[in-house]
Amino acid sequence: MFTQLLFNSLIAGSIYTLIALGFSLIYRTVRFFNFAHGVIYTCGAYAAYAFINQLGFHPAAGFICASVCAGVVGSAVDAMVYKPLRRRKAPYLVLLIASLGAFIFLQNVILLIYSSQIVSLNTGPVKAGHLVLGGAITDMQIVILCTSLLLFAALTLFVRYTRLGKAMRAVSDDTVAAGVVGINPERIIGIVFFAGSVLAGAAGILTSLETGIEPTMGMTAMLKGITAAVVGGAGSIPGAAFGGMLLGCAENFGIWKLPAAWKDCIAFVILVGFLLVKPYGIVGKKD
Amino acid sequence: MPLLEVTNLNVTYGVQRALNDVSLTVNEGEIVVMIGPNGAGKSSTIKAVGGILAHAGGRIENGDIIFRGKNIKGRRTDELVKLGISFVHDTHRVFPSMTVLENLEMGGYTLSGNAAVQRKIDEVIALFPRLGERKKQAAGTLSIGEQQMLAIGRSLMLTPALLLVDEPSIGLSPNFVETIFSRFVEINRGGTALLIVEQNTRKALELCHRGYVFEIGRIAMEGTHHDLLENRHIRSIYLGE
Repeated sequence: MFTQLLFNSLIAGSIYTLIALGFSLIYRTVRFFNFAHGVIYTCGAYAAYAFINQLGFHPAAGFICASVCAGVVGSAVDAMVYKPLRRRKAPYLVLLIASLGAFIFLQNVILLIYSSQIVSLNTGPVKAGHLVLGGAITDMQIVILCTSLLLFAALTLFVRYTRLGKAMRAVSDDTVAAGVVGINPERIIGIVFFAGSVLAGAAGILTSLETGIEPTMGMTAMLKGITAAVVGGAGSIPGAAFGGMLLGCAENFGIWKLPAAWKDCIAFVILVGFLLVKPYGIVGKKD
Repeated sequence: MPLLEVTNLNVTYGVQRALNDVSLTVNEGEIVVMIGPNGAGKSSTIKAVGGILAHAGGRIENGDIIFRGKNIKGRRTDELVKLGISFVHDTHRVFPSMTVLENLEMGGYTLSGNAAVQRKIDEVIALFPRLGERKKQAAGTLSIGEQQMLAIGRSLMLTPALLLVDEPSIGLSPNFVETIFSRFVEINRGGTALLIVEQNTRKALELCHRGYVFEIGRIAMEGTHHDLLENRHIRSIYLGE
């Protein structure tokens, strides 16, 4: 039982981590909670559906194309909604509400195209899981774990060591100073939205390897992702991973003793608890 | 042709007028200082030239800012850097979460090739050995004086033709002020022209080739190093003699 719950925790945690990573990357650069992040997750899932089921792509190629699609949608939202607002020096609250607007708008666009019918990805016949240390884990779940780990490692190394990654950190440290050294902050912000949205899209696709795709799937995913990001310390990359895993464990081990309907409740108890006791998260610092 | 030519610059903050028809020039290889009391318009002038006036809530009403024959009024800072103008804020504004070395690398963001960046980093560290000792330290943990050194060092990474420095001595101990002012002379020897806003009038006048005295939003007086140091008005009001 323990092994099974641990597997479930790791799988849920890795999805939360991916959502939280993208969310944090964007948050620390533009300093507002980008609620549209949730619908980008949905976009990723539907784009994968379009590429794999409707266009007949190989699942791996479909995954890559759909993630890139999610990235493009995310940076388009930035270019068309947030950028004009930034230019007008809109306060935090306006951007926050605009992002909710973008969320609702895009969710309804998806609804118009695909209706509210639940669809699922064509990834071949369902196979029985492998038994490892008394717990079952399927091939798809191994794919989810490995892909998440790979994306986390890639993002960490990219931000730490590459020129562009350092420029992202510079812009999130001090936008004005970034301009002073010759970085065009707007260009970097566009790239950050792209990268963060690719991660959200990837999370959406990985989730749909296991469950159905529906237009409203983004809301819960976003709330879980934000919880993970806040618990870890919004804006921190290792913090997002830590928060994601903590949330995954709390939910899955929680229902060992509690009825399964309490799963979501556990997440939000943790969120409220952290906001009250440690609002800057585990590794976060006060600004 | 002067390197920088500002003509009839007018700046407002909302309804408040901060600058009235300010005109000044900086020639190739010169050190020019702007002195005067607080709120006289020195900082507004340097911010307007450096392209960061909008961040401070100001607006250029009219006037021209010509750099090497090109009008640069209203250009973004990242464009100015590519033209050869670097800006050092009065509040230093290093990247606090990044190491000293990474801050310098960012200063060379627009340079092509790691070798070029490394060469400039070595030059900057030769100028400020203290930065070399603290290479791996996060910039936010440096002392104010060290952060100022880092901000200046970072701005030198692109070998600017014109270095704009807003109030370099603010908040620094006399020791650091000494070091930084002597580095300005060295930077200038390397061919960079400097335009500096400074509260410490004596230090500023001793350093400069020429200077402008600001009073309530306009230039009250201008002159060479000798003219200004010998001027009776300046000696009595600013140097307290």
